[in-house]
Amino acid sequence: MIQARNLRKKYGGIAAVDDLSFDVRPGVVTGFLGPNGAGKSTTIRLMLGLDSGSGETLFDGVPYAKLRQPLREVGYVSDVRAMHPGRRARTHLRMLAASQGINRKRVDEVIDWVGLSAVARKRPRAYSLGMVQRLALAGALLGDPRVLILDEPANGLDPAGIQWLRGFLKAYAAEGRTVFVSSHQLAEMSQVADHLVVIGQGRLIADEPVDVFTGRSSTAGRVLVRTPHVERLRRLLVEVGADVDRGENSELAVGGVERALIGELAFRNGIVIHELTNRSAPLEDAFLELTAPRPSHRAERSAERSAERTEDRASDHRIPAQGTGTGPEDWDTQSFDVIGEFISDEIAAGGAAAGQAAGKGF
Amino acid sequence: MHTFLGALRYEWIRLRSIRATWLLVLAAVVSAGLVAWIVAREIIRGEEFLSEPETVVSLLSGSSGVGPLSFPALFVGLIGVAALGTEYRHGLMQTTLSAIPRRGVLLTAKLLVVAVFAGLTATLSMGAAYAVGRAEIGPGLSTSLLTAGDTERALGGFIALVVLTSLLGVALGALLRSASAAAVVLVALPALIEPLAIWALTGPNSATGEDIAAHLPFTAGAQMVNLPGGDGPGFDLVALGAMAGGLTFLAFVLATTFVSSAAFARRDA
Repeated sequence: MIQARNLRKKYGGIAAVDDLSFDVRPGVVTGFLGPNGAGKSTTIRLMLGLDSGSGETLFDGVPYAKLRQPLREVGYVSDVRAMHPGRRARTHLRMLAASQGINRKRVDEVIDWVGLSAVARKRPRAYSLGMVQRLALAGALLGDPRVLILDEPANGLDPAGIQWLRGFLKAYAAEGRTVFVSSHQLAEMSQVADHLVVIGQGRLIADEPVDVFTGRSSTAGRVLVRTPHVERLRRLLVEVGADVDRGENSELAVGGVERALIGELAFRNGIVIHELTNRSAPLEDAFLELTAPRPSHRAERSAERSAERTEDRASDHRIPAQGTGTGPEDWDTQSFDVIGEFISDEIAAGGAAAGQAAGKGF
Repeated sequence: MHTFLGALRYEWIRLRSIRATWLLVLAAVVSAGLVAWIVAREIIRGEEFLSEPETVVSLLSGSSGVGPLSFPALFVGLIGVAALGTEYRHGLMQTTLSAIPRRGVLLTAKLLVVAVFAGLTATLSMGAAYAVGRAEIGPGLSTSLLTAGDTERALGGFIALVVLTSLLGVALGALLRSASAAAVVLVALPALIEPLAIWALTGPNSATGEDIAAHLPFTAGAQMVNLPGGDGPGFDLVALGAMAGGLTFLAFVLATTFVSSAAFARRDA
């Protein structure tokens, strides 16, 4: 368990970290998100006492500087290449191990664990960035710590390495340990994190589970529809009370109705559907919306804004195009007056049953 | 205590596991051997005499003869600079402080390990110089000469000078957070700044200036290696004497270390 309280840090009178407080709980992977320059690395360094500033961070109730053998309690991977390029990798780890009374057998174990056994006696100057990251991770794991803090750990890793890291972090947290990971790779974070601490301009924007955070997005719960009959389908959806944003070309972003109901409506009106998917990047959308530069970042304010956005969504909003696929104009000429029937069906059969029926239709 | 022992172990491995350390040790030993060879040739040519204790000390201490500069002290001082300077240079300081977060403990361990290593290197360089001198001069250079008169004290002073220079290197590395800047200061102080200061301070009817010049750190420290009646560190200064000179240099090293320690405790990694 990590408890960060009132962390503050200024550079030349400008607040890099401004009264930041949050908890990082064991048993889950907590992602630490923020735009470049938001203060993520500075915050982590403050937590570990590497940078001077104010505030306090407790690791299971103890400040980092008072831990007798800190690497046995907290493993840390820095965002920079924090090793001497001329010191052999194994010696680098042996040096860290010696400071904590960790035996050499453990050094070889972690080297093997991160897949560097074949190059353990080489100097890191010959390493790729991914290999350096693995070596740094090996250093963090030396003491088999209860807390793991990783600053941009996926930098330089290849896809296989990222997949390995993802599985490792989830497994590590599942053992009841505390995992705190900073990253700007949102797609990666969405796959690994259970909880998010989000900052912007050094201030806390959100401290909540991933699903709650993504729910703040204006695109959360929206369905992407691609159809050559875009205008007809838009009118039909609006008539049933859907919240529809017209995208470029043949796209619609639809909210307020289930995906299955959209499909059924299209089917009953003879409208061709090329794509019907739930928006797949709600974390990215929520992150971009909440961390966009603004005069003041406040978690509560952003929540209010998110709610306001949902209410005030204008019909002429545009969503980014994800493909083309325009159809002939005359495709949008057929007309089936079954709106009333559709609504009657839904009332009669209930929303869930209607959803199932529509699902079978696909 | 457990933390401190861990810090000592960390520093001992850190120091020995980079090539630069061993290159500087090699430079210290080779330079001492080279000076010993030059002095030995002068003895063979009859320009210097083994019967004079200062000749033996010159042969063994690797003195450059230019200002208060000793080659082994200089190279070992650079080992001290690397103790912190290279950690800042390579970003290793974050890793080091995550392992040893108590900065006072870390700095003390660095100073202690570097001091021991410097003492060993000074002894090794003296041994190399003796071996070279013996090979050139023959049995005339016997171990009995090392204990004649104040020679033993001067050779002890040489080791002290090397150790204190290495500690000054550590302090400068912590203060300047740059191996390059600290190295330049460490070399420039005895090789350039002090000779220029002495030239500016001394002159006819300038007793006060000479007194100040004699208290310049490296000039004073070099008195630990000088013998009574010797020429001093290349200048006709009123010698402070080995003890006063050594204490003056020690005070400078301690003051620099104190300032560096205070800065190191507050700064970002």
